[in-house]
Amino acid sequence: MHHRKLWSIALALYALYSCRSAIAQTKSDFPHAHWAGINFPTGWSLLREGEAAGTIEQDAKHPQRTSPHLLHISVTKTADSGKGRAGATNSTPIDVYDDHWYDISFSAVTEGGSIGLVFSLETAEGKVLARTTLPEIGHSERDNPDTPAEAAASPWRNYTVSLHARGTDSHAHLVITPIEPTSIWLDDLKLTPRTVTPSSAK
Amino acid sequence: MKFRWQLFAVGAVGFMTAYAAVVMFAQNPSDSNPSASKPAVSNPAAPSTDEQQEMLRRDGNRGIRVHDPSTIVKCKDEFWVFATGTNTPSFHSKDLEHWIRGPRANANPPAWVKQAIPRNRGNDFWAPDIIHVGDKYLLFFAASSFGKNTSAIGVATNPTLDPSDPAYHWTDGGIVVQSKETDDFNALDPAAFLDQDGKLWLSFGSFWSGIKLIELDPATGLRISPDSPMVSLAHWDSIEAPYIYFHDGRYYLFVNQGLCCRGVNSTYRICIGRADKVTGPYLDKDGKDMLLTGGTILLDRDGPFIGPGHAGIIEDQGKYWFSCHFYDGTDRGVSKLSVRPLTWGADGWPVVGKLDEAQ
Repeated sequence: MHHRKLWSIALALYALYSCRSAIAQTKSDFPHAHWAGINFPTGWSLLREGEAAGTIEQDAKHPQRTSPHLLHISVTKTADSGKGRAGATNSTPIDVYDDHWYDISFSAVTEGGSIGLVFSLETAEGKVLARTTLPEIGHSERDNPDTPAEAAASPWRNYTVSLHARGTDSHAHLVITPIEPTSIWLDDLKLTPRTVTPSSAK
Repeated sequence: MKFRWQLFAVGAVGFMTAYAAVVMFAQNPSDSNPSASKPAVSNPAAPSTDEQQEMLRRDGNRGIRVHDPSTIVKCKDEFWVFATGTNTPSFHSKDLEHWIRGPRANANPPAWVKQAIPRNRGNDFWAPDIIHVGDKYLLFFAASSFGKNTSAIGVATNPTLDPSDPAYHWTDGGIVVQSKETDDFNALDPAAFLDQDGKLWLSFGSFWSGIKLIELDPATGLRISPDSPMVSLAHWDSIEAPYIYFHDGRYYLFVNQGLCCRGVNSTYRICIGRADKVTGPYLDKDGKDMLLTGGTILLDRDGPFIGPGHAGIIEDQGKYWFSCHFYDGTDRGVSKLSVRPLTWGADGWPVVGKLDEAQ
């Protein structure tokens, strides 16, 4: 009987230890697990570097969207990659960790055809921690809308893009720059840290 | 009677509209390309002139309509090139000048295409590449859906490219690498490279986070293991179509920067960097890392020779030949095959020449 009691206590202690280790491991692997996601309704300002030129408008209007916080980016001139860019930068600090993944979802519509958008997470000093180009935003001819009603009613489309960080910074920020001249409206921008690394990209 | 005339008029207009649509589709290979998004020709080029035709001849114009050509390979006494299109079209030539349409490589498309890429029709393949390894040819091809990174690169093997050879038969090898919406890369534009020590590599990538490299099993053409390292080689705002070539102790990486598939408005150009190891870092002529927006322009728009893309090199009888597609400014921006001489400068960098310079 005494033996059984001791075994039970040992087993309970081991289970508790295992559980705490698992929690510690999760925290260690995904230190940003405490934040579920960031929305970017405001905090935008114009980014203009080199010969690129453009304007942005916060809380912009679009005839087919009633949201009060549309972001309108209008770029009139772009430059070669690394030699200039124009777009929007957000002031919201983002806790970014090296080798971690971040998913961005948003809705968008363009004027005058589809374009590519570069999404990047950058430090205040301009170091790029993660960057991905999403092409064909605004393309609709072959895109399957979510519902037939949506197809008939609105040119707005939903997009997602994933970023893989190659550096750590607790005050990183989101930058969005078109790769060619365009007029684009964005809505419902949200960045979410991922808690599972895709196996195909290890 | 009046009603009949109205019917006739409506029918005639309908027929003409349909005919025009078919003609436009046939003349615009970008219709089957993943990056196509705008009218291929929104600004028709100047009328064709003898001078422009002569320029294009010297730029290696071979006249055949191809988009995203593979590396040219030789089988027996013929050269072969594969390209984007339904069931992967091929062309063959005995002299690199006159090309004849060959059989389609993916005439019986593998079933996994429709499963892996539901939005693909199942026989719509992009940007193939071919390489001869050991006793067989490995054909890599991509399946994707428009503007998405839900893509897969597959491999098919054949002991010969000669369709009259009894051994001619394409065998599906399966998926080499696949990307999903939650990945930050795009499994598109494969280019195979056989190292000096027999290691087989595959570079690939289109937009997203740029150009990647994985090692393959030379026996199968498949990735050496599902979680083997995937190395980043180059990144730019709009980058795709990699190609690696080894020369004189260095690895040269060719990529396309800019936008394809817009006919005479395409901004495609071929840029290069080189490295001491196949995995990089690849530095351009100014020493700038191609992962950090480096890349020296090798071939760009030149008169009616517009938007060169998808580099390839073949060495034959001591001469190097550089292949790519270009948009013909004298023919409404139709994409065609170019094969032109390539030499290596004293500094080791490749130089793409004009046809007469090789003769």
